[in-house]
Amino acid sequence: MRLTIFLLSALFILPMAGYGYIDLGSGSYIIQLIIAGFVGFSLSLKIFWKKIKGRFSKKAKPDGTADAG
Amino acid sequence: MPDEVRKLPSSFRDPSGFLFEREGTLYRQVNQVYKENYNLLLSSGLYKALTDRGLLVHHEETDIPPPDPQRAYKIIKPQVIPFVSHPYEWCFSELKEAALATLKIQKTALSFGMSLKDASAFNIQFIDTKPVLIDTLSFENLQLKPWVAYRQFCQHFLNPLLLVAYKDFGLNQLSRVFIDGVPMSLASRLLPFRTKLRPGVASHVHLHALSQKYFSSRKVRARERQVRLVSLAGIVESLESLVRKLDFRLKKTEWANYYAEMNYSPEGFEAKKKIVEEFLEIIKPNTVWDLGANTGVFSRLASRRGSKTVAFDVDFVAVEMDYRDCLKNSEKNLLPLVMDLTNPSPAIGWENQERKSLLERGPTEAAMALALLHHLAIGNNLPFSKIAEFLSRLCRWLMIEFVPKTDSQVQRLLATRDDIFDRYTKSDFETEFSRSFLFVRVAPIEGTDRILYLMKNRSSI
Repeated sequence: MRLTIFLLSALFILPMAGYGYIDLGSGSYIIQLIIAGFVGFSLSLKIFWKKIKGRFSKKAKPDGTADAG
Repeated sequence: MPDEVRKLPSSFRDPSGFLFEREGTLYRQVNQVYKENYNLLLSSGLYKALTDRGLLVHHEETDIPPPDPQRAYKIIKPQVIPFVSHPYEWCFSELKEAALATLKIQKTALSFGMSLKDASAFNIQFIDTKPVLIDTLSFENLQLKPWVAYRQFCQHFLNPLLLVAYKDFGLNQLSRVFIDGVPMSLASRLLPFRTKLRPGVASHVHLHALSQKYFSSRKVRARERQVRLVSLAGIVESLESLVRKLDFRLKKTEWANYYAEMNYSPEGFEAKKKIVEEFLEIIKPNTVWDLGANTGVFSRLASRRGSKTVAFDVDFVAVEMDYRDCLKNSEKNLLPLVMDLTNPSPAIGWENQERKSLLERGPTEAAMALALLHHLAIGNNLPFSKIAEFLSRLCRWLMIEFVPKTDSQVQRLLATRDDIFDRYTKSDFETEFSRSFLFVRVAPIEGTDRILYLMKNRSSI
C-alpha cells in the first residue's frame, strides 16, 4: 500500500528519465501486481454489488421472477 | 543441415523452434523443449478455437526430415502470409486491430489454461485485412504469475497507439528505431500531461515507467507472487478497454484529398481505370504492389480480380482512410501500408537481418506507378534512370503513368521550385525506361495529356 501511494504521488512530481542497460523487468512485474490488485479489488466490489442488488430485487419480486443481474 | 534448407533470421531468438525454407516452402521446426506446450495447444482445444476465429494461422504437421534432428519434435507447415508487413508500416487502425487481436488471443488462451509468452507486434500479420498471429509457438502452460508479455504488449502496441492518438501520427515511426517497441520512459515523457489523469494511461504507461525506474536499482524479492486468474483476465480487459477507446481523428493532409483536387475529369478517370483493367487482364498477376496508392482506388481494380495487392502510400491519413474502407467492406486481397518510396523500409535488427527491407520482400509480379513519376522526378529530384533502376528491381511487370510538364499537377510542383528539369520529357522518359523494360502497350488517357505504359522487365528477376 505504501508503495502504491509512493507511485501515485510520484506520478505527478517526478519527470521520467531515460535509461540504458539496466533491467526494466522488475518494474513491469511490480506494476502488474499493483494493477492486478486494483483490478481484482474492483471486480470483487462488482460481484459484491451484484449480490446486494440481487438480494433487493429478489425481495421486491417475491414471486421468484427476479433477474440474476 | 542440407544445402537447400535455409533458416530464417526472424525466429532465431526462440528456443521453442525456428522457421526454415526448403525449396521455396516455409516450415517451422518445433523443438523437443516445446513438446508439452505444443501438445497442450492442440489437446486443450485452444488451437481450434483460435484458428476457427481466424486469430491464429493454421498449420499441418509434415514428415519431412528436420533440419536440426537432435532437438526436433515436429515439423509443421504454416499457412502462407501473402505479404509480411512491419508495425511501422501500419496505419493507426491496423495497429489498433493488431493490438485488439493480441488481447483477444490472450483472453482466449487464459480460458483454455494457456497464456501468450510474447506479445510482439511482428508476430501479427494481415490476411484479407484481418490481423492473425503467425507464431504458433507463442503459447505456454498458464501459471498464476504476472503476464510475462505485459511489458512487450505495452511497448509494441499501447505506446505507439497512444502517441499517435494524443500527439502525432509521425510517431508511429518510432517502432522502426526501437525494434522491441517504444520504451515506457520515452512514451511517458512524450505523452501530454492530461493523459496522467486518465486511469488507464496513468497506470499502464506513466506508473509503469515510474515503477521501472524505481525498481531498476532495487532488488525485488524473488519470492513468487501469485496472481489470481480473474486478475490476469482483468489486466487484459483493462488494456482492451483502453485500446478500444483510442481514436485517430482524420485530418486533411497533403494527399488524402488528392482525388478531390486532381485535374481528371470523370471521363478521364474512367478512361484511366479502363486501361489499368486492360493491362491487368493481359498480365493476370498473382501479386501487385500499388506504389503511391493514395486511398487505394486503383489497388482495388487488382485486388478485386484476385491479385494479392499491397497498396503503399507515404501519407498516413490516406492509408488510414484506405484501411478503414477495407474494414467496412470486408475487402479481400488488399493490404494498405505506409511507405516512403524515397526512403523505403530498411532491413533492421540483429545483423541487419531480422526484419526484411522492402526490396527483400519482393519482387512482385506487377507494380503500378500511377501519378507517381512526377512526384519522384520533380518533387524529389530523382533522375528517370534512377527511378527505372529502382522499379526494375522490384517488379516483373510495370504499369506506369507519364505525366507531362503541361499537366496542372506538375505545374503545382514547379510553382515553388526552379525548373531545372530539362530532361523531364516523354522522349527522355522512354529512353531511360527502355534500358530496363520492354514496352508492351502505350495508351494515351483520353481527355488528358497523360500516357499509361505497360512494360515488361528485360531481366528475369
